[in-house]
Amino acid sequence: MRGRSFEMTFEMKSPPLDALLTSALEAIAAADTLSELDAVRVRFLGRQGEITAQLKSLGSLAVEERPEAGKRINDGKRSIQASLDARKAVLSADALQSRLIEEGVDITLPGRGQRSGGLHPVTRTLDRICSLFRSVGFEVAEGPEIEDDYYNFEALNIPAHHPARAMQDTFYFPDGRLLRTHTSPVQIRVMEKQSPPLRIIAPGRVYRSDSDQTHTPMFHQVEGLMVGEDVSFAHLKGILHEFLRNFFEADDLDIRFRPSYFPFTEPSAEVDIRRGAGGDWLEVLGSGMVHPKVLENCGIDSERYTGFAFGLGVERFAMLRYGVDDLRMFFENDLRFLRQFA
Amino acid sequence: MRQWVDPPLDTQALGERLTAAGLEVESIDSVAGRIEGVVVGEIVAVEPHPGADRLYLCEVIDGSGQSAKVVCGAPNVHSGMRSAFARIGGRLPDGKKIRASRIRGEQSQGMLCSAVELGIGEDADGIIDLGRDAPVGADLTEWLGLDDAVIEIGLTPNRGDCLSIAGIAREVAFACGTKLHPPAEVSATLTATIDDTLPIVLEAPARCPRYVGRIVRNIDPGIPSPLWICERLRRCGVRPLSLVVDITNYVMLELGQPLHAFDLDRIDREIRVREALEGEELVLLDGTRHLLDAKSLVIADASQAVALAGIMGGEGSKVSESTRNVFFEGAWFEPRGIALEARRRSMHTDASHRFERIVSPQLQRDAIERASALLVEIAGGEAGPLCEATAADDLPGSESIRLRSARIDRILGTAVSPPDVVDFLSRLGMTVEEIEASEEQCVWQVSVPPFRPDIGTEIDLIEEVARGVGFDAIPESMPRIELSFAGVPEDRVDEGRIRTLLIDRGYHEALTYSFVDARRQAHFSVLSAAGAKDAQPIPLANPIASDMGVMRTTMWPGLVHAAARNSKRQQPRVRLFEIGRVFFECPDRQGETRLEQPTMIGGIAVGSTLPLQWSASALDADFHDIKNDIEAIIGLSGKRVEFEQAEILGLHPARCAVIMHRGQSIGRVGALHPDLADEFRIKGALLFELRLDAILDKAVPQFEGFSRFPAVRRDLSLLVPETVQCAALNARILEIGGSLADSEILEDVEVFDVYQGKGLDPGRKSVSLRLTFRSMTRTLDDAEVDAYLEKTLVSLREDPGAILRGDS
Repeated sequence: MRGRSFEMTFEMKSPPLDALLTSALEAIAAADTLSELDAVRVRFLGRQGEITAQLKSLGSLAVEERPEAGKRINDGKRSIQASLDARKAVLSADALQSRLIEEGVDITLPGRGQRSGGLHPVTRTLDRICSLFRSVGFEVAEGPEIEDDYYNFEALNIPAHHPARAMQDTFYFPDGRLLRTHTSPVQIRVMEKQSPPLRIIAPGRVYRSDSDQTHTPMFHQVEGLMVGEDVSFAHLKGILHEFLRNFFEADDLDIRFRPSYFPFTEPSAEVDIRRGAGGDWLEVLGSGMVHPKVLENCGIDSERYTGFAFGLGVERFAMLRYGVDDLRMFFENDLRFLRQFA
Repeated sequence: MRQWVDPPLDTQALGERLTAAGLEVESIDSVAGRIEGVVVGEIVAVEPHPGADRLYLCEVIDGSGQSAKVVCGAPNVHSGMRSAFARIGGRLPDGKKIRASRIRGEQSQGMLCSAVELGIGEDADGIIDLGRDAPVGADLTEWLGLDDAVIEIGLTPNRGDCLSIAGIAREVAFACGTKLHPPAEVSATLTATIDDTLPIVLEAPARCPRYVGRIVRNIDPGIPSPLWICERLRRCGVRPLSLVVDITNYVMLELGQPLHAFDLDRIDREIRVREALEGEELVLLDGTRHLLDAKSLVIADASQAVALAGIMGGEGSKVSESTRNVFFEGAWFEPRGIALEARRRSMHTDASHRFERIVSPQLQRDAIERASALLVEIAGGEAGPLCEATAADDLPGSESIRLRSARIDRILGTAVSPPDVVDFLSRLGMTVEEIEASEEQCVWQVSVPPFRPDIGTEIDLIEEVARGVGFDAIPESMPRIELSFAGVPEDRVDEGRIRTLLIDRGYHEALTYSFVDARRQAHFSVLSAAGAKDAQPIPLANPIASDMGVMRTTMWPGLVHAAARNSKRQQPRVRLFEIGRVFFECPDRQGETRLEQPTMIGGIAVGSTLPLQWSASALDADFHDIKNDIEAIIGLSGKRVEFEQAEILGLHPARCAVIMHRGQSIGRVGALHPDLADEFRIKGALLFELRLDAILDKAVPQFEGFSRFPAVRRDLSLLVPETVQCAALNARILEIGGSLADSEILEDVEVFDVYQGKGLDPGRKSVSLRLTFRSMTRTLDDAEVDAYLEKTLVSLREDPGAILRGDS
């Protein structure tokens, strides 16, 4: 059977190799899918394929013709295989591409998962202030919020009858203790424990019995203190001016030191700022040279050491920096407010 | 003020100069609005209006030579009266233009004005009476000096000396370098024309070391205060009352010495300045009745107290409309006593304000002279000689202070030339005597005038020098410091890291008040390391509002309130945290009450675990979601803690836990008790609270070797009684492992599923565990792991009665 069919094929005069090659290349180019392409491969290179048949028919040729004919058939086969490979690469890439496109997602849908919260603007402001002072060698100190009369007033040169006590509406407890009205007691606590040179900054909550649009009964202050052998009012001015310029990141910041009065500093100055020459002056800081009595109260030789101190209201700085126009917002904790500082 | 000192500056520039000198100018206002075409007019005839009962037809002359017919409704209008007449075309401060008009058929050619209409007073009941001496036709603005300005100064409490025109004038002279020239009449003396005096006895010389008085008899009681006094008082914010009172106020504003005037006829024989008797009563000018004791200082006559010293006069001895004989008082009171008494009685008067801030002890005679001279000049009468009692030893003396130029330069950080120092201090009325002068420094002895009692030490003088230099003229410089490293302790957890962690987990930072509503706080207890039961909240003695009455003992009332407020404002998902102090008192080991104010991290979560999104569970956060947040915080410190079941006031009894570390409770967590949902108007809230100090320390990492051999994992599903807690099951497995010979091969036990419900016995739950086995020294084979597991399962069947699922 087998021999016969061979013969038959041969007798049928198989098409010339060139024509076979041409029709194979056309079929390859016409194949649109990997399965069509595979059918083409089977048709020409398969075990029953037309090229295979040609190879099998070599035996019927004269011995001297065989190498020549074999070489031609094999060249044709290689050429078809190369075309098949190339076409397959193209079709595979296309197939992958369309499969990937089917896997597509709506990239406009929001990302999934937790959404971050944020720092309170007061903390954010405190952090900035503390970072600035840390960068020039100040250390952060803390103190209690329920204080003794001694630390809040007495040691700061504010004796009992002093009218300055009326400047600060104090919250008292039945036993005579009080909520600190400023962060200045931390000065005393630090100076009692450490010897000069001192460079500290004390952030924290303070309390005054006052409530309206510009006052809340609780707010935040940062106290600064520098004590050394030659700390002067000129240094106070230099430090505060540099600090304010850096905090507000403004080179056009005008600053004004105005004589004022705090029992624990002398000379005392209030510091006003304004942006641009025409603007209004805004009071932002109280400051001064540490009163010799305060140094002596803490056992520091006031002839040898001098120092400056300052105190600032954090909410005021936050309001100026972020354009908040109502102080009370800070303590309402409305998420629509808090999210703006995230 | 410009009668005292007249610097060549306009009012605005003067204000800036004062501010720069430390007298903060808060506002500058004109004393009156824009007034045009208003003159002094005399009403020469008044007739009733024919068409209206309450209106009058007036004929007014205004110096123009013509008379005008004016319709006026004022009840006080009468012929011969001189008042403010607004001519046609004139303009009032409210912008009203005066036009010719007809009122009820009668022509009106102008308008007669009240003080209110002129914007200079409160009296709207009638037209203003300018007095007989007002020059008809004079421009009102000019004649009343209405083109003046009121400068309001925010005075610091150390500058009592500036609570007067005289004091401000001194400062202006100092700040502007101008000469001070007080008007002559201020220092004029009045010669006595009668001999009457009152004996004065200082029974409490330490509290009142000087008392000066003077009798003025036979004044005309009907004379009102002249307009210029009323106007000046008004501009200083003082309401004119009657001549004698107005004069005392006027002199106080002018010189700074509070004065009081008694009706001499109501004073019994003498003046005694004494401490009040226990139980003595006194009714003051404002009608209040005061029960006195020895702490109060009073002015008394021979029979009773007649004034509360330095604060307010008594009702019984006050001058009235019929007073003809007056006794003026000018005294110096010890400031501390006045301050304490005024505060004790919650009274704050112009007098006490000044006495508290120390009046010059040399001012009393001058002030009495000035007041009595004014009174006699305006209302006639005869003045007696000044009567005075002084306890010189108790009066503050004047200070003499040593001042060193080197010290000035060191404090200010700039060199101030010695002549400048002398100049500045001299301009403030000080006497400066050079006692040492060398290359390095000058030393002076400075005598302080009596009107500057705030100056007592060298630093006070240095401040005055600094004001003289001008704060703005002192150079700025950055201090030079020696470099030194700030420590970077690695065994501390940064508070900022904790904040960041919570923020990344979706929490917003909140800041709530440290004082809360006592009632709301009572729903919660205190987390106290020592013994929560004895811890007590601390009430404020003077809370600003009843819902801010006690210090918070826990972070929760404020956070719950903040979360509820957000829920009410349509925020379905709220996550807040706060780091701050709580406050409570508890007994220490000795049984004494100790105040604690530890810093806590508090948090609240309401609503879904994740924000609403397109492909995630919208389940509300539950206990274990929050527990994970807490574990993450504690994880920063690397500490191992246990969550123990406990009863916590305010939390769901079966969904809360205390967090224990080495036997100390360092925190707690749980669901808000459903009963409180209504009280706080919030549902499904989860709360936590941790002591910050308990998680601030951590160990510096120390490397430990780990096995290079592969692990063998076994998953088990165990059926256990539902009461068995996972932690107990874990512990039991480890305990069993510990009893086995090859215990070290069990590396880890993790729970990966818990199931209860359909298909299981009601009293049981299924817990799926993954056990990881590994050896440090070899690769484990399945057989030894299976053998280990077999032994474990046998023991688990005994205790806690766990069966392998599908194995029953």
